[in-house]
Formats: sequence, structure tokens, C-alpha cells
Amino acid sequence: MKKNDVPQDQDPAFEGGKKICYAVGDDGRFEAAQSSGWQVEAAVKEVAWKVIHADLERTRSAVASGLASPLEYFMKLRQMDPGLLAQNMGVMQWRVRRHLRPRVFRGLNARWVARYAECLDIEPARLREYKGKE
Amino acid sequence: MNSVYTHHQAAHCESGVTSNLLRGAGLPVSEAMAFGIGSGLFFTHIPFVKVMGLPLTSYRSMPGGIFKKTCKRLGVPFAYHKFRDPLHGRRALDEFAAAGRAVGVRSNIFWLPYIPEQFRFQFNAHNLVVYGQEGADYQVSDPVMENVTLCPPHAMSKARFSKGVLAPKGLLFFPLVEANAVIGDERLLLAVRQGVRETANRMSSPVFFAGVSGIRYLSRKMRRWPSQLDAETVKLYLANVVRMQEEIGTGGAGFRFLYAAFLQEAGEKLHQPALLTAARDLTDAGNVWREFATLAAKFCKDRLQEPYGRIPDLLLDISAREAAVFKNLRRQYH
Repeated sequence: MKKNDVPQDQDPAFEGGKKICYAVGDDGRFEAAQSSGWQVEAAVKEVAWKVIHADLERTRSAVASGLASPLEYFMKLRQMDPGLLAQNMGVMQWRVRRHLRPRVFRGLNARWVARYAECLDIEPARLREYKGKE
Repeated sequence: MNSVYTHHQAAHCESGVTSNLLRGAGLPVSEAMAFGIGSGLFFTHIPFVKVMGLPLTSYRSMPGGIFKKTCKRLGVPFAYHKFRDPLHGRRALDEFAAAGRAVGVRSNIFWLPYIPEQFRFQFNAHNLVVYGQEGADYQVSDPVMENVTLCPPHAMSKARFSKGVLAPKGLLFFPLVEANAVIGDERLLLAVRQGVRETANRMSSPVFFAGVSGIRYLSRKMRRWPSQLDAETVKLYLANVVRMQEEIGTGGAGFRFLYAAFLQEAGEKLHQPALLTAARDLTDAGNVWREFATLAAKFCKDRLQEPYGRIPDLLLDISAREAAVFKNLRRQYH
């Protein structure tokens, strides 16, 4: 890739930042050049995020209709699965899976809720009260 | 130390941190040199290991090796501390920060608030440098960012002690360079040889999912995706391969340009024509990687005019090119 060909496609995901691309300058030597984004990268990133957002939206509406627990929603918001959440909590995966069930989650005591809230970096009250509204 | 450490933006986090720390200690090692000496380049496609539900594709060697290998091969002693207790880990970092000593930190990129939203994934091997304190916050030099920034201690602790695959365990690392240390050309040549040899050997690995045969394997698998998976999943799989190649700081073409930059710099400095030839040929391979990414992205947007089979065809072309590059390097630096 020549230095003049380094894409400058103003990817909004960069939030105004730039990243480094290695490209060949006029003298035939490689140099580090800044790029404001490449549409190819933006396109594939969009594919990945569409799936994550669709899944999150499905979970949100499941919480609203009582079919999923708030814990499941916030777990997915933090891009975790039950296995990863269990590792971060330091408990067995089957316990996390059990706690993900709406009825079981409602019955959890304050200490469990506080531990999950700490692990997912949200307010305990929000974790307990979340109704899938927003 | 604070006065010596300077932030340089880099393409890749680990080679960037390694280079910035060594430069801060007075050893002029560029990002490309760190990446090459630390044998950062690789390729592997392992469909039976899934990362967030997608087949694993990687253009680099295992995270964590670049810093250690670069230091060892250059004969630079280094410190490497992991912590079982988050409290101890935090205290240790606080002490270094208060003293203004620049240290490398392994972190989970998801919890770093200054990283743009769309780049935050549960990925446990992001490297950055903490070089001081401002109030309660850490002064952070993250090589993939343009400028230095601040990070609150709570977020830093979460990032350093997150669990899962490649859990960082609060890792802190830094080179222990004596004052006025220099790296002679002889030492450098030895280090470059070791770095090139390892990469060339691993790229020529006989294992079917690794190195250049891994690229062929991906091509074979990819050709069958449309007949095995539904259309959306094909797009998702393709997009994932291209993301690993371009999105996470690779410097373009899945680290191929960064590695070519290393081959060129080392070749010129040490008068090694074989490295210069390899740099040129690997750049050509990198250009085909970019073409591959362009076609794959078009497919994801339903704008591909060529037949789908053209995409895996390009991978075969790349595999042949890289096979030639590394075969030759292997012959020269066995």
C-alpha cells in the first residue's frame, strides 16, 4: 500500500481519532501513516454490531415480558456469556445459569445482587428493578 | 523517568508498548523492530475453537510474547509481575505511578473508558503504559490512541483483574535497562535472526490450521460456507475474518505491512538483502490481503459483482506468496 492510498474514510466509530497504518512512502520506505478509517473496516464492523444489537434488543423485550431476567440483559450489555460471567464472579457456571432464570433472580438476596452489580459495573438497584423499558 | 517517557502512537498495542517502554529507557527500538524481533506475525484459523460464537482466526502470535521475546533477544533484562490479589496489584501500580515510572499494563479493553465504544470487546490482552498519576487518576499512554489520556483507578482495576481466556492477572511489566545501555549491531543482528527464524518456521508449520497452510485451510473452509450456512451467518463469518485483519490495530493487512516494515528496517540497518526482498514480496501479499478484505466487505453489503469463489481464490494466491517468502527466509536464517 502506497502512502497516498491510505484510506481516509472518516469512520464515525473512531470518534474523531485516528489510527496508524503502515504504508510505503515516495522513497519506497515504510512509514507509519495516520488513517481516519476505511469503509471496508466500517462495513464489517457494522455486520458484527448489528448482531450484538439485535440480540440485546431481543433480550430487552424478553425482560419486558418477564421471559428473561434483568441479569441476562446486563450480562449481554457487558458482552459476556454465562461462562465468562461465572469466571468473573468466581462461582460455578451452573449457578449463574440458574440465577439467570427470572424467578430465581427475583428471589436472590441483596448480597448476590450486589455481587452481580459490582461485577457488571451497574447500580444494584438498577439491576434489580430493570423492567426492559429502555 | 517521567521526563524521559514519550508517547508514540503505534499500530499494535503490544509492539507499541514494548517500543515505547524501550525508547523511554533510552534504547531506540521502533514499533516495527519490536514486532519483528518479538515474532509477532502468524496466521491461524481454528474453526473448532469459537470466540463469541465465531471461528477463531488470528493474524498474530499468542498475546504476551512480543515484549518478553524482544527483551530476551536484545539482551535487556525485564520485570514481569502478576498478582493474585487485586489489592496488592493496585498498590504496586500506585507505587510505580507515584514514582513516575512507566510500566506496561495488561488489561481487558472492554473496561477502558477512553477507548471508543465500538472498539470495546471482552478482550483480555490489551497492553498500555501507565506513566504517572494526576490526582486519583492514572496517566495512561495507550499506544493505539493518538494522545495520552487519564483513566480512573476503578476502571483500571476492573480492566486489570478481569477473568476469562488470557486473564491479565494484573500483569505489570517493564524493561530494566542500565543507564547508557546500547544495543550493538552484532546483538541486533542476532536478535533479528532469532525473530525471523521463529516466524519463518512457524509460518511454514506442517499443522494444517497454522501458518501458510492455515491460510489454505481457511480458503477451503470459506469456499464451502455458502452451501453449509445461511446467508447471514456467511456474512458474519466473513466479516469476522476481515475484522481480525483490519479492525484491531494491525497496521493494515493483518500485520503484513507492519512485518514488512520490520524486514525493511532490519534489512537496511544490517545490510541483509534477503530481508529487503522478503519485505517487498510480503508487501505484495499484504496488498492482496487488502483486496480480499475489499471483496469480503462488498459481499457483506450485497454489492459483490464477482462470483463468490473469487474470495477464497485470493486466499490461495496469498498463501502461495507467503509460502515463498518464508521458505526463502528459512533457507537464509535456519
